[in-house]
Amino acid sequence: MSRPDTKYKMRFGRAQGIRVASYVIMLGATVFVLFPLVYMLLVSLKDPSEIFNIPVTYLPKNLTLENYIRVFREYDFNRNVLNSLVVGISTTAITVPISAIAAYAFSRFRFPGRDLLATSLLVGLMIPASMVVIPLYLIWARLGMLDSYSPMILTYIAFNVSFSVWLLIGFFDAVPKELEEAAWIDGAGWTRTFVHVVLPLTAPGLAAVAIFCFIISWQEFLFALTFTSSAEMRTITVGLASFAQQRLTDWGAMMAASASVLVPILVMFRYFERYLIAGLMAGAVKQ
Amino acid sequence: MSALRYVGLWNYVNIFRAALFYKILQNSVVWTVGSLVPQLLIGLLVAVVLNQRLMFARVARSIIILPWVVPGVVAASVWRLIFHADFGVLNDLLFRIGLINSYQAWLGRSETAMMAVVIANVWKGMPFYVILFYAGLQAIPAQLYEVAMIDGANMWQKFVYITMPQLKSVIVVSTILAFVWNWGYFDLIWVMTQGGPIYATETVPVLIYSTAFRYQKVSEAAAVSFLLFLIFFVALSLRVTVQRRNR
Repeated sequence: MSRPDTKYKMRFGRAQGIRVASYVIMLGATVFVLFPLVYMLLVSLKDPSEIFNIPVTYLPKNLTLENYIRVFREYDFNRNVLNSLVVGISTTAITVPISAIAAYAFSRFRFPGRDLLATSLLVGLMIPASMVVIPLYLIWARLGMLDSYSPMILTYIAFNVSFSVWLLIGFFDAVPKELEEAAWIDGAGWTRTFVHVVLPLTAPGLAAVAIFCFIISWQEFLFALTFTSSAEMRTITVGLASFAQQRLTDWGAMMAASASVLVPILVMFRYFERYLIAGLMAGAVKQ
Repeated sequence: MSALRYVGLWNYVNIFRAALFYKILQNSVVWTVGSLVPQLLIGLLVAVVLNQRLMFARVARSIIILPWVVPGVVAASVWRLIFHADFGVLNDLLFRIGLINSYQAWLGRSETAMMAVVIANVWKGMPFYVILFYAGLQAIPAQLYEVAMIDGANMWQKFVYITMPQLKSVIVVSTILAFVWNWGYFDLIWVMTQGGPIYATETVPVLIYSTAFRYQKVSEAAAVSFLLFLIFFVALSLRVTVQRRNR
């Protein structure tokens, strides 16, 4: 065998090796991520008594929806779902218009304090909930608003606005200025141009932001835990957590409840994913 | 809630006098660094792999970023069951492979509880950095790699001299974000262990919550929150500095 031939083979082998390693890493990460989710689904579909088998069974011997029925009939998870829906929808309905108007201003107008305000969006993105939960709790307590929907909704709006504005600025920047100028020449004012020309063009962005807001409030835990005290006001995450503490042994119901919290998010995320990655890419380039 | 009374710095004195506070600070450091390092390293590795033109890379990407939208409470419930002493699947797997001789109470023992919550947190947190790094990688101009290839650079050289410098600002920003978010993250630990056993997994956010709502010392909890703010402020200043420099 001649020398160049060996060299070629070595290189080929090395590239193949990297390829194989890449597939192994990709597969490993996918399994690591999927395993808990699949496991949750499988346990939620098991017969409640089968969960206590030692050693554990991986696939359910007989599939049953018994755990789900128990969660919604006996443990009154309906009420938690309803609360989360009210809070999530209200938050979304208020956050999206506010963010759209703010993002449009950032995208189109030059005004004093613009850079400072844009930087403050970063602050909103970074604030950990645990840092502000006590002062917020005291404020809502003083206002006599605890144990109702409004403190949750107001807090979520405040937390969601920064990301929403940040994401929407990118969408508004992408709308060609010429379209607005055309509307302007036709005699439309800022409001009409914004509502009839710009907003329809940014509909995908608005939808993505709406889904994002809903997901964020749907999965929020610390504020919901702190601002509510009665069982009727609990959101799904708080309901699930209290469930985990009270009915320690009912793992089937806990997994069924977890799956019920998760599935709506996953469905919505399928739509949101594309825009999220687009938004983050814009962000990464800007940085 | 009674009327507020001015107490000067007493709340801070009380915090710093409690021996437990230093244990909790230490826990917070272990939790934050222990979560952040694997989250970023695995995140970068997975993003680099996904950025190659592999079969199924799109499907894998869609799956791998899922935990990012899994609510912390849901993740905590599932991982609690996985780590369960009797019915946990981890015990079963490790026992079958032969790594353990008897089932372990992973969350019930001080020696292993922190490791267990950190693993759950790596699972939950890593996907976001995959997305960020992936976005960063996609933004690197392909010409850079073409030029390097003409110059005869190998894969490692391309990674060190092109990928890393181009990703630098994304990496710095991700590290700052990971630091702040992990330091302030409450949901996962609260649902998995409530800070136990015997304070083994109690971090600063858990301390804030339990001081205020278990021991009814809201003012002391506010003082701890302010200490959390100082850390946040340092991270924020770094973040803004980075942002300015890159502009």
